[in-house]
Amino acid sequence: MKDLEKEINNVKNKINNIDLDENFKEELNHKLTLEYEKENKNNKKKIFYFPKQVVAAILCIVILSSCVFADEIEQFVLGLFHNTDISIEEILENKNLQKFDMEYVEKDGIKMKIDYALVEKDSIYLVFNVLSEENIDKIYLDKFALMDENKNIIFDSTHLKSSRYALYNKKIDDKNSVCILEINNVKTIKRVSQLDINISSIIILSNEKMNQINNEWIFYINLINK
Amino acid sequence: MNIEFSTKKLIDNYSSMIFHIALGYLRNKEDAEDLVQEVFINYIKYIKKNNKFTDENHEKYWIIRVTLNLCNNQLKTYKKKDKFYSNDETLQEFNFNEDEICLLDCISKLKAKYRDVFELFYIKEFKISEISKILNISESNVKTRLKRARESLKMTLQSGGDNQSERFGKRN
Repeated sequence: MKDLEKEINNVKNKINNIDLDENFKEELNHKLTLEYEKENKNNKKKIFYFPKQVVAAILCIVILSSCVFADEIEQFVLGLFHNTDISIEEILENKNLQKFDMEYVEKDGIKMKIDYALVEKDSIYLVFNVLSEENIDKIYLDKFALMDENKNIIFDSTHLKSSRYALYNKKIDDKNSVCILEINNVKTIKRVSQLDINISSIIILSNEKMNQINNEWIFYINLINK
Repeated sequence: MNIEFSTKKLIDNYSSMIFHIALGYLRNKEDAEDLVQEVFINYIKYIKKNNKFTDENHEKYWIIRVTLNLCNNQLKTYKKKDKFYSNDETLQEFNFNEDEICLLDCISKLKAKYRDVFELFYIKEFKISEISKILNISESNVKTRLKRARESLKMTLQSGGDNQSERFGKRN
């Protein structure tokens, strides 16, 4: 064991003695400055700035109206989990629904993956499968952004745009839930071939307690526009 | 706020720390450098979404958490591509001997939750209390994970030693 600790110590010293090149640091500084400015420009695109309460109220109205609008789609996607494989295959053929076979991305004990994506006109529906070590009653995607293959932000939940979104939950069991995200008015969605989905904050509702988790769940999916 | 100054300060304060953590995980200089950049881009996006850090420790722990998550994601990609063999060559450039590379290899085979604690404690020499705050777990949980990491590493070195010997042809 002493030898092992000595060896660990050697490894530690060697790793910590490797320095970053000054050129790399300079180049990195330049890149980060550009990135910072790019983010600034993105933020300036916001026309109105509202207090959080006003934003929350507007979102509630938007979500409620979206629920009515998307009732059929909700039933359709939720129906997937009751149907047999054959009918899923039929839906896959008839609708632009894509099924993904990906591994869960685990952060802070929350595992997430995308099972399905559906692009209809200028709307996109993403079906997230969420697994938790704790009980989940409901899950809300609090902050998330969608980017295209060129890293253009096509939707950012923290920005007020003309796009609107809605979330639906379906509990599979105590620790497994399905969350369907519907985003409307994404004009460019039909032209997107690779979608980068970055979820930076989620809220989990369990036994009437809310738990906000900030982390980074990142997914890449290829969209096939039929 | 002077942007040049703030990004420079960010790099001065954290780039080496991120780089060393990433190097311990990925054992590849270029990938570790890419990861440093990715962490900082995540940082900029995070603060531009009006997220604020309460103090320096909050900021530092957030950066470490993101670094660990990105490293673990990268490791998964490596495992799929079986990339570690080529990474070992880059370690040899930095005078790591075969035993040390073998040790890093065994560390990389630990479960992510043990590897995180092990790296932070042994490679970056964080205190138990700090690791507890970084990973948002209790101190006793950190100690348990460290104990299990050591046991698991010892077992991997003993049982997997044969495989490692075959791989390097020399390890005694």
